[in-house]
Amino acid sequence: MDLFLQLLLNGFVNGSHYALLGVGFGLIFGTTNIVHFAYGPVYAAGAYSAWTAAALLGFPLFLAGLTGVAAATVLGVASYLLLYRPFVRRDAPTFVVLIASLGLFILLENLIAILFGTDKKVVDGYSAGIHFIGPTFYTDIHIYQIASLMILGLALAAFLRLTNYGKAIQAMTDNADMARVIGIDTNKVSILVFAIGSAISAVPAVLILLRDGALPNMGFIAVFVAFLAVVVGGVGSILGAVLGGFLLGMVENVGMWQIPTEWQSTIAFIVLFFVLLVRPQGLFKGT
Amino acid sequence: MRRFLGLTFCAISFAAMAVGPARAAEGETFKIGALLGMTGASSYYGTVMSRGAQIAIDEINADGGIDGTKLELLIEDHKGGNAQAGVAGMNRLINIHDIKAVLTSFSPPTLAVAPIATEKKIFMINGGGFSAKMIGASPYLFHNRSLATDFTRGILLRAKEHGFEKMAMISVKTDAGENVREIAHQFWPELGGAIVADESVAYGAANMDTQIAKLRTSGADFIFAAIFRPDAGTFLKRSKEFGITVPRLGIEYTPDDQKLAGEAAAGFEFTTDYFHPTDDNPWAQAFYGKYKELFNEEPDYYAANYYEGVYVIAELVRRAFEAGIDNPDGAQLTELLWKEPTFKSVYGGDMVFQENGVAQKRVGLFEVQADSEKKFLKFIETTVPGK
Amino acid sequence: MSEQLLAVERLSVGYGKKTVVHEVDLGLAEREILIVLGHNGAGKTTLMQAIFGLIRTQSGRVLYRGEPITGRKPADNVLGGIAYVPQGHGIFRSLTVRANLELGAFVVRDRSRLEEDMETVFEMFPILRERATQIGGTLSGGQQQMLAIGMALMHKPSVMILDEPSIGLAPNLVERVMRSIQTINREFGTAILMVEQNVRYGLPIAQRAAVLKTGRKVYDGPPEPLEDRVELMKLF
Repeated sequence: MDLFLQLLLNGFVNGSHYALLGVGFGLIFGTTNIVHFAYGPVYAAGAYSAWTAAALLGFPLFLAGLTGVAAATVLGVASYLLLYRPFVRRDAPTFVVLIASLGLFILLENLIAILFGTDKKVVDGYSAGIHFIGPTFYTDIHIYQIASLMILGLALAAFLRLTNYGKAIQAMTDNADMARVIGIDTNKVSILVFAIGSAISAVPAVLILLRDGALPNMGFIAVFVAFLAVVVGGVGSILGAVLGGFLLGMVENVGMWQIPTEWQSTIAFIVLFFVLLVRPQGLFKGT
Repeated sequence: MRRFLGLTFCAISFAAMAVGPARAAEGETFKIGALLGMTGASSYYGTVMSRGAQIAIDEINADGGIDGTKLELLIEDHKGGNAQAGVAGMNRLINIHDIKAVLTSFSPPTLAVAPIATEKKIFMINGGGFSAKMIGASPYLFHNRSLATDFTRGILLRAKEHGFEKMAMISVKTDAGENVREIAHQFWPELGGAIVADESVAYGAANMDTQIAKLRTSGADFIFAAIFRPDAGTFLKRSKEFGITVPRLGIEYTPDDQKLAGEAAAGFEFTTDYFHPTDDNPWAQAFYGKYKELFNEEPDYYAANYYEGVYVIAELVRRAFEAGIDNPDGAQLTELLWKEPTFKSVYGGDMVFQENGVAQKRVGLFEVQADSEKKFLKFIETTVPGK
Repeated sequence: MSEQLLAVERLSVGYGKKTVVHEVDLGLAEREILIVLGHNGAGKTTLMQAIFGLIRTQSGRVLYRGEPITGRKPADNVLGGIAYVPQGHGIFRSLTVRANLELGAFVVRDRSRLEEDMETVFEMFPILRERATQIGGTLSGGQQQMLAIGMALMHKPSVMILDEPSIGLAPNLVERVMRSIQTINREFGTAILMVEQNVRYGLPIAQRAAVLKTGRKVYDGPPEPLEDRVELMKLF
């Protein structure tokens, strides 16, 4: 029972982490239809910028985190303006944009390795408090992971529902052509979602920096998981991305309760296949 | 006129022959190849190994080379242990540069190029990979680092010494990790112990919470971690965060792991090659000093092994020249090695190549202190398995 | 020509090297209903999209109230009083009827008129009032088309461009839609520029007709002569 409770908590925490990654990626993908693989290295750049601010420039942690968010936002928007937009303007087919995105992924990941080196970057002097509730353990970082999902998730939902730009995003996600017809500047909206999506991804990035340290290839698993969460949850649905992320987190943890952990990665894929087989549009895609 | 030219021609030919064929390397260079992981997730190893090797090359050349012949290092990238990339690199070294001696690393590419080495008579020395599967892969393959069997046996003997019986183990899913896991599964029961948990993590996995949770509830006396950098650091940190209190034993603890785990690593015991420059060993101190000066980092044993490996090859080439072999191939270098298998070791004293091609060095047992620094406890003799 | 509300002068539109619309002249007067006919692929939709600024033009120009608006952004056209109802009942299927109508007035800065304008649409299409909180995608085809037209109405346009409003609808619904268009024209004074294949229901409400054949205008005048099938076939 002890094990089960710990796994349940782990599932919830990891699920929050994956959910938030999915939300950022899903916002970009759902609105612009761009499979932004470079989301991974942009996430990593957020972590590395925060590390630079904290470890090299001596910023206090919170400020370093903001630096990471700012850096990721700038890099994300730049990738849209300089790489994706020219393709979109020429009506390039989706897979061409996908390949361009992969190219950007490789370029940025290697750039990070060249600039920062391949050793692990950690923020010295940060030590997360360890707590336990009953027989289960958790740390401060875990709390931040859950909290950041709740805060950012709710903020995003409010933004989408209540503000003009939020409604424009919803419209463009639903039907980009119609959005143009009613006068929405889809270029501006694209820039906006790339900014928000990248900013959101930087928060888990900074938390992972504090929890595990940063490596140049940390972006790969992030975009991989984000992509899975969005596909499972349903493209275009923020709630879907959140639930997709939680499902993944739960399967990875609670799913291993009686199954050897050797199967951890395999199980995630089996679940993905199963979901797509039964409901290819994702669990929460609407009508 | 024709006779005059003919005689002159003969005279010149004779003169040329009398001087003898130019020593392939006289005034030229003897090239040493290297198959290292220069890119990819494990590029850390390629970086430090190439540094160690290059320092040795530069040292020997500054000292006049080997009887005037300079050494040159040519590096090929196997991209972090990719077998095909290793084969491609080896072929380039042989076909383009006509290399006869190679420093190799990582078990998968080494195993892949071993047959090529055997066929083309290339001398190989490995200072990084430690899978016991490499033993006997080629008659020209040697190792100046202890293999997995030595480290694993060493640390498990230590566990026995502590009086532990129930082991929970966690291994990383790579060739190296699986190899260690197999050895542990064989050896621990031989020592009379039982395995109560057997968890796996993917290489570079961010989430090992599940595995840690299972380890904690397994009821074991100790945890054996068959994990390497950078996951070793993650394991040490995570295990403390999730409340593991039983002792943890393992086989790797690099500066990267130390950086991440910090104080969470305290109490961790591990076996490893022991490169300790503050021994009464001026050679090691000189190497340590030079490395520190050039790179502002301490050399780890990977750098030391490749520094040492170059010296082994240089010594064999010197023996070849002495024996009148001007362009030695791998088979000849190997024969010269067996004539006298004792070599100076940068670790201190001598190292002797055993029948199985592995240089016998003792493994060091270390314990991580409260301040996360490692402290040498003692050497552990492990019996090296024959071929 | 200065009395033309919307004037198209020698407009050519194409994709890359291919030209789909060749130097078409078209004029729409205030409060006029102009129907544009033509065979499949004659360039009707392309022409409409170019007028509204959704695609680039190759040459020629578009004038609105005498001012050139060629290639202007759709947002500016909406603000200027031109609405566009694309083919295939274009709505936001995942949003409610009410949210859809609000979006129809997206570019209108003065939000105080929103409820009033929505009321106007509900009066015209009572079924939309009934289903105001329903998700757009769950409406029937005919209802979706009414919603699409309603969205265009939300900002009281002076010109409404419709691309095949009757497509895919049952005959009684087609009639319903055509009557609504007529009502909009009469009550609000909106000029209508309409592409329509359904000659039977479309011609009667039009004041003028134009026919496009492989990208060129081949007829421009009263709609009556085209009621003769034989005449019509000559032009297609």
